[in-house]
Amino acid sequence: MKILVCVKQVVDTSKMEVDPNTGRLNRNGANSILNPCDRNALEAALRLKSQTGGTVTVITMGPPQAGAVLLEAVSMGADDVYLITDRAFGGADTLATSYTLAAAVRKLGNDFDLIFCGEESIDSNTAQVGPEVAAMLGIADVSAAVDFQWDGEKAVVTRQVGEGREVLELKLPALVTASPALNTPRYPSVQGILRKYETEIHQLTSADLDVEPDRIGLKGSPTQVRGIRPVVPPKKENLKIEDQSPADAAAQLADALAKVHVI
Amino acid sequence: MDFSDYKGIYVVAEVRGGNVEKVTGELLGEARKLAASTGDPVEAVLIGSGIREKASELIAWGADIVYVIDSPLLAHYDGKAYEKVLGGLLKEKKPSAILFAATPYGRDLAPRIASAVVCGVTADVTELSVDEKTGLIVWSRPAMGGNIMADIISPLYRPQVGTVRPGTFDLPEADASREGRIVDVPADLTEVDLGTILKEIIPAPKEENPIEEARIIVAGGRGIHSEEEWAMLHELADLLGGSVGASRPICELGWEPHSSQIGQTGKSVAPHIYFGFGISGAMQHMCGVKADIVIAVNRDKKAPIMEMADYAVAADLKEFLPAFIAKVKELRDR
Repeated sequence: MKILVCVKQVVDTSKMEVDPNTGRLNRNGANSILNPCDRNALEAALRLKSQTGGTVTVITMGPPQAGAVLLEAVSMGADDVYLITDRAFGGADTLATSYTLAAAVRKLGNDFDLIFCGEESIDSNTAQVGPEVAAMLGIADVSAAVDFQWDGEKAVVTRQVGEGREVLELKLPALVTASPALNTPRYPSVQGILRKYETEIHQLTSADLDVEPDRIGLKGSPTQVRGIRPVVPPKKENLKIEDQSPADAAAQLADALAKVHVI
Repeated sequence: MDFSDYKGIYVVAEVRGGNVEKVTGELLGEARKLAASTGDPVEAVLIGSGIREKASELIAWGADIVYVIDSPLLAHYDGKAYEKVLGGLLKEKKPSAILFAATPYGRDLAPRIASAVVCGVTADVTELSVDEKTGLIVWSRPAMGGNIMADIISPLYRPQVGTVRPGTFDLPEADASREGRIVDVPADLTEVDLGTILKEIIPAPKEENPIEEARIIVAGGRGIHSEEEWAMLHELADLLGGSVGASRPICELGWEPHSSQIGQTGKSVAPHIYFGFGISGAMQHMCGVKADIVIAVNRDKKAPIMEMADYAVAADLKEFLPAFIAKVKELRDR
């Protein structure tokens, strides 16, 4: 089976703070890491490969230093890695990113049986790139999978909907986005770490891909951040209700709580 | 760029198990507010199987037009098939803006639609407004781990699209006398268009939720005088989807297991909302409570908890509890 995994290098937001006075991000030397649930996506791909044979290819889009997450993927067991990098891709929102990734999938032959992505990145949490890539390639997808099984003939995926779950048979080719609950990602193996040093990161630039210039990078990004501002804490009324009948007090409290969506 | 032929604020209805979810009403209410500034009509799209009769609910919540795409092949959410029928309609109708629910379905469908019609999507919007100068919709969402709010616009592309989590906006009062138009849209679909086949729906496990993980805790203390009153705390917790917690004396009475005890000799909890009924506010208990919102109801208006609480009510619990439960039910059913 030919399997593709799309990953992203992200800033470790858990180590980042906002300066309360200036509202600016204080990176505190926060590390760049492989987006956590992209590890779950890679794990699912590697498990599938161990069942069916085939190859696991990993791609990422980003600046040259994003190659680090590809080497990490190699140390976990990826076969081939591609870095999509070009200044022309800079400033991309999810749509321009997905457009570029879809172009890379076509460049690599567009013959993957399954594509895995992480459900969402920890630095923007939109969960859009997976379904956008699937739609651009005209294939099926299931978002935020909590279980993935290959029974020898069919892919069976489970997603969480509300408190319940839906078990779906997935027609291939298809794309699955991995929730953190999908599996427990493996650690890099010694063999993998050694292989890291002899693996070539293939590079793809805008010249290598069949892309329209106005669909990539900042220009191809419909969403613009007009501005950022500090979060205003949720409105709490400091409400005191005294000397009322219990029924009146109950009604007043319920109305006040409904106003701030507590009930 | 001329977008004068892009009209209408659209809401894509959230349908689960053949029913229209409440979040659809919340989105329609918000769409009406935006429409009041932009002058657009509010239009809804209802997708499902045997769903047409539900269109009137959307009109009552504020839709002027409801497009119904009804097909047995659309009985369950399927990203590929839903994108095909909805994308086709949207390309023809050219909405100015579209609101989706930020649910597992909406968070999958909105980006698929973005690819199909070529537009941007702002995920998990918590505030919506209209920019007075440009008439653009401003989609605001917490960013960078919730530390900042980002205001997002889509000046050069249409439609403008966002997803909104359930419970973000108020549910408008349904007005059954509102008039609107229902338009049937044929679903141009065959089996081949489906990307998935639903095998099984596994219902939610019926397990008691542990208080350490509860978003809402309904706690009680010595101010609760009877097991009858205590049972009402359980009723309220069930109603709010929360868990019951207790102070030490209650657990010693055996009304609640030790696993529900909060405080120094019990558990530490960090819910979003903490209700303290008949809890005095002694540090032995309160040291285990770290909540965003504290609500206290106590007979004694001088009890220490009344100073710690965001909402403090002095009332007799025996009478207060049934009245409060009835009122919560009433607000829920509205």
